[in-house]
Amino acid sequence: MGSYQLLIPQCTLLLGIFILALFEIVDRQFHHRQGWIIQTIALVLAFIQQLLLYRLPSSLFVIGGMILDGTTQIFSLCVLLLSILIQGNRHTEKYSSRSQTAILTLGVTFFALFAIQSNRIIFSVISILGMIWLAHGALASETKLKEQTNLIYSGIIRGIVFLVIGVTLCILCLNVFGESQMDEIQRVIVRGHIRQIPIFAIEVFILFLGALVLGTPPFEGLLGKARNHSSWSLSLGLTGIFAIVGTNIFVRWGLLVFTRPAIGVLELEPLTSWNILNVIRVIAVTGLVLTPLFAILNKNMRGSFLFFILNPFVQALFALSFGQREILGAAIAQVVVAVIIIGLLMSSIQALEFSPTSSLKEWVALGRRDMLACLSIILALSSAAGLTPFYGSLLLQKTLSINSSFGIVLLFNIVLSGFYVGRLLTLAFHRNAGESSESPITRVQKIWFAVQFILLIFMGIFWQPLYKYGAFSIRQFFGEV
Amino acid sequence: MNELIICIVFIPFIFLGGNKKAGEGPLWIPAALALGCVSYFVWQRSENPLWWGGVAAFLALTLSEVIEAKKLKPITAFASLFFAQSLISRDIGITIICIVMGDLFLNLETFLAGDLSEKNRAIHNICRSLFSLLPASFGVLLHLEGHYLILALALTIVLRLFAWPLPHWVSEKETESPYSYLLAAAIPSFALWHNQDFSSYPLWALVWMALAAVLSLGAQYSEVYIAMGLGVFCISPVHGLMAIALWPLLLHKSKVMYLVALFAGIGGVLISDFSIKALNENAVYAIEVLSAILLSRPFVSAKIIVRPWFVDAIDIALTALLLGLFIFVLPAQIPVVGLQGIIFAGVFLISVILGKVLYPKRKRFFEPINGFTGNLWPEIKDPIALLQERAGKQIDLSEGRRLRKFYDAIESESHLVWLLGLLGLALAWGLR
Amino acid sequence: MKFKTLVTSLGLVAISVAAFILATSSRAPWVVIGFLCFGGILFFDGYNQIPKRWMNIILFLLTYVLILDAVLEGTPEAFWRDFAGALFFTSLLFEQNALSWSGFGALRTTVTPALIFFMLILAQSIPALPPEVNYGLSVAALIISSYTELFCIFRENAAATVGSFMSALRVACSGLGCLFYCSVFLPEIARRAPFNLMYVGLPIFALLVSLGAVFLKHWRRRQTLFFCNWSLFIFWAALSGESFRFYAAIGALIAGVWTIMMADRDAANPENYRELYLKLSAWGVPGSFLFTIIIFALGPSSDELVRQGSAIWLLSFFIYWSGLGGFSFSTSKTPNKGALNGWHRRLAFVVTLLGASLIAGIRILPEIFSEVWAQGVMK
Repeated sequence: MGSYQLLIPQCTLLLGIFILALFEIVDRQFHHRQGWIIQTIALVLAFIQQLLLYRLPSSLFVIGGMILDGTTQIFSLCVLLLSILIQGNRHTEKYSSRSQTAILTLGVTFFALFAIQSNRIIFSVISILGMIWLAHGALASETKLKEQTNLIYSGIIRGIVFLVIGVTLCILCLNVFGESQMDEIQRVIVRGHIRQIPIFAIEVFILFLGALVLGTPPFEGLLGKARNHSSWSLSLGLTGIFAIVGTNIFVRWGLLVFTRPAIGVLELEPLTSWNILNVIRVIAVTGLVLTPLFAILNKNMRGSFLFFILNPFVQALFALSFGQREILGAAIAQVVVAVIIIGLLMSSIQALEFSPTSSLKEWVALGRRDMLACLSIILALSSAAGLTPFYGSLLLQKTLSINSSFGIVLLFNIVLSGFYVGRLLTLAFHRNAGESSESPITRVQKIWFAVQFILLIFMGIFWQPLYKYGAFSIRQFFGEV
Repeated sequence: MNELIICIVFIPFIFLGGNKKAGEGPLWIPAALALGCVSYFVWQRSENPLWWGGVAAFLALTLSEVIEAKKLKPITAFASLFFAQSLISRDIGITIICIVMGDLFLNLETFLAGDLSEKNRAIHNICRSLFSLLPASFGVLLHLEGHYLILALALTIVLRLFAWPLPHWVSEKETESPYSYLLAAAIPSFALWHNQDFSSYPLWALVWMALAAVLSLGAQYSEVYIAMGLGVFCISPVHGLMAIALWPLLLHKSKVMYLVALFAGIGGVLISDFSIKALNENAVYAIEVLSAILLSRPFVSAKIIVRPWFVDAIDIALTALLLGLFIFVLPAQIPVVGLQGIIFAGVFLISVILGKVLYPKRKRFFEPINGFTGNLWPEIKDPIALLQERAGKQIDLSEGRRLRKFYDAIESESHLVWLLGLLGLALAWGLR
Repeated sequence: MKFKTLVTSLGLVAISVAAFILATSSRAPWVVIGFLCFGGILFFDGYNQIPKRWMNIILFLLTYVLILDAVLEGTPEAFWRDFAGALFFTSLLFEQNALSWSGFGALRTTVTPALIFFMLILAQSIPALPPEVNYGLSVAALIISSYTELFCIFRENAAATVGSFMSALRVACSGLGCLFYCSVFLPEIARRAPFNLMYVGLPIFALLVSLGAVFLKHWRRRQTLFFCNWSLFIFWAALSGESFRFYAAIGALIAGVWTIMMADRDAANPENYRELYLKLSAWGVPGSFLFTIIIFALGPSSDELVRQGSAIWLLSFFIYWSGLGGFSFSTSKTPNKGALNGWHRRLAFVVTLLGASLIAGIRILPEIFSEVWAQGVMK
């Protein structure tokens, strides 16, 4: 097996970028329909190729810095799926006719795959830097001309900050371990003879970067204000892609490197004296409280949704922090569900033609004007909150069964998330809508909502296949059983 | 077979046989059906006259009503069926259910036959009749025994029997159709009472006489007599059965009232003699004298309607027939009257005669006292503030300036600076 | 509308058949009970509330799927999860079909009890909890599920939900959940002190609610509380441990759900005897299906506490019946609003009469049902 087969999906995406650029160069103008089709084909093709790559042996480490095991595969598929959903929702988007947006979003997906599949920290850092700059570019391309400069400037600064921290981390790794390849770093730690203080510093950097990329409060994320005025699909979708990459950092750079399976039990134990699992738990706990709280306090719909879609990721992070095999698998599967949630949210909000500056006032009685879209949003948010019968509730049950005092924070998260969802649900059907205008939702859109909604419900009710898929993906952590 | 099954099965036949609008119909259909059903159950219980004796009295009562009114409404006939079944049932629970169903159909009769105010009353009567059955139901549910169960049954009987001090739910109809009242009051009272064994509880005979005496201040003579009959039943079931043979005489307020007064007096005599076993002599004397005086009042103040002699003769004949039947089938000893009985008889007789003489001049002393006429069910007009429907507290949909500034701050690059500072602090803490 | 009704009916039948095929022999009767409840809701929906909107149909069928899934689950955690999901969708239907109201109160929406229910069942997952606390949480959750509608009773237009399919759905979900829990997952401590005090405690709670109902001005809001109490009655009957009372609880569930759908929502008309009979039957007065069930469920017991509980239940029901003391027909003629399907009302009338006549089988029906249940369930 050669290493180059792993790059097939990335190559497809690159090809897509080139074709789009070529069209613009040759035709001197961008045809919206053509560009959309090419981008969609590239993404779908990459998704299928990535899926077929799964038929390869699960433990595949390649010298040269690429990796494709269970978790990498599942995260890659999530990124591609989310990109397809973003692309699907951009079909009628006003700004989707710009070539820059198409190329830049495809670029974000391209770099995201590298960020996830890299075995070397420096490559992941560079990939994430590419993601930051390209994402800012894509978001800026959808805003007004006078704001674009500020957003680009913001993106550059954030990218540089990230690059500095990332490079510092790489230098530290090279100094301490003599390696920047993750599996090799773990072998060095296992051998021992390393001072704990530098390892401590490295762990802090990794967790900091992970939280920054994931965007869990108080680490508000690398995209910041850039999401405020762009389209719903890009702002929510890119947040989701960054969240997946951030989760991957916690899993790959954190858990896989600094823990190993304990002997005799199906859970992870720390390799260093400083228990990384506890620190991840503290970060997750902070996120569990602040994520729904900020969503509740923020009366701007864009802002509150951007906070709240991180809730399933934070719940997954909390579950991961216990390092137990059964919960680990469920947490990884939660990321798949989060992608579907974001997709449903994007499509339904888009259909309602909410403006980026909409507040809770515009939400009142929305359900009476357009019930299907409104309920789709509410059910997506319920799934994000972890309410039954959605998949998140299963993860919550399994996490609470661990018997940790931190469980109370999870219950607090449910209270806040439940209040958030309950408030939206109640206000949506609160008052009469007044004169009802014709619904802007087409039949195709309704069918699309229904499909996503049914998928979400099925994942919750018939959760066994998804759970098994998640469990299968983390086999590498515990070795072959 | 369950007593209720037959009743339920005949529901459609009753309605088919009757006219839906007027509630009346051919006489023979409901009468025949009711007779047939009752006869079947009587035949099943034929070994013990105590079980079918009540039914015989009920049939005599019904026959008297049919002869007098020349009609029997099918729904009333159906109610009668349930009441008859309650007489035969040996289980108090089943008895109560039969009474409930009987009440239901009596109220249905009122509803169908009346105007809007009567229809309202019919609906109100549902809960009033259920209220009367509550004590007995509690007794059954709590599986009470002995005095407690008898007390529960007695409470139910008092609520069903007496129209004073609380108004009876059929009392307004009594003057028009005493048959309905007797169906609702007399028959269920006997049905509930005759299942019990009072050999260990002799005091209850005196209790009934005292109750009848107290409540006679506002009650009618028929109510008083039925209560006395229940007291006699506590002494001897045989004598109690003979007491219910006078049910046909209670149907009409004619000169047959004097016969009822006679038998009431005999009942008082028996109870007074018997009560010496339960209480001391002086107490019995006091109670019987007072009771005799009070019990005479309703008989004195009863307004007698003059009717043709042959009409009364039918009632008397039916009563005589019943008495003869009971004497024939039941071995009854002629009781020996003691001093207490003689005293009661004397006081009662003197009170009645004196009362009749004094009544035209001193009506106020003999007329029934008015009972409670207000609304039994207090209507809560203004619900307490907590339970009112009212508008809720409005949610604040505006976002304050400070919150907006906070979000701006965390979205800007400057917050990364703060986070980097935190990172530095964390490293410094770890490296110390 | 006919197309939507057909789709809903086919969906219901398909789900039932699939569940029946997948169910083991011990769980098959539960599928049948679920079908009777949900099928009855759809069948007696004379106002066509469910087929009015596609979202109503979808959520109705999803709730049915969840409830059937709950009764087919093997572990208590999975059962509770599905049950909570069904309750959540029911609360969603309440909000979706509610008339407009003002203000916002977390205690005025049915979402709040659904969330509280979810919190309580999540708390049960904590392994450090002793079994007594665990059981207490279960009981609290079941009580919350019975009194879901209590939360929305004080807002304007709350009376519009009375007699609605959402109310029937709530009774069906909470009733099935209670029955299944008591039959399959009830711990042994439930029958021992101090938990056996619930045989009296639950009726006392219902009594307090019924006393509170006296203060409610509108009879429709009072009826909401009546059916909340009815759900608790089902739970109490199932909890008592006696088989005939358990069967009576099953009957109470079906009777309650059907009665809600069969009672009409117009003002009482003294000329329309059939509608008046159905309206009064919704209160469980003698001659109604509910009354028959009350008789069956309050049968004699050897347990002193159960006997006391029965007496308190009777008092509680009587307090509701006492509301009839203030009943009065309006003299003005009110036209019948809403086109009611004629055959629906006739069938409802016949079913209620038949249900009332079941009282005749007070001695033989429990034995017959026990035989049927024993053949359907593997012990």
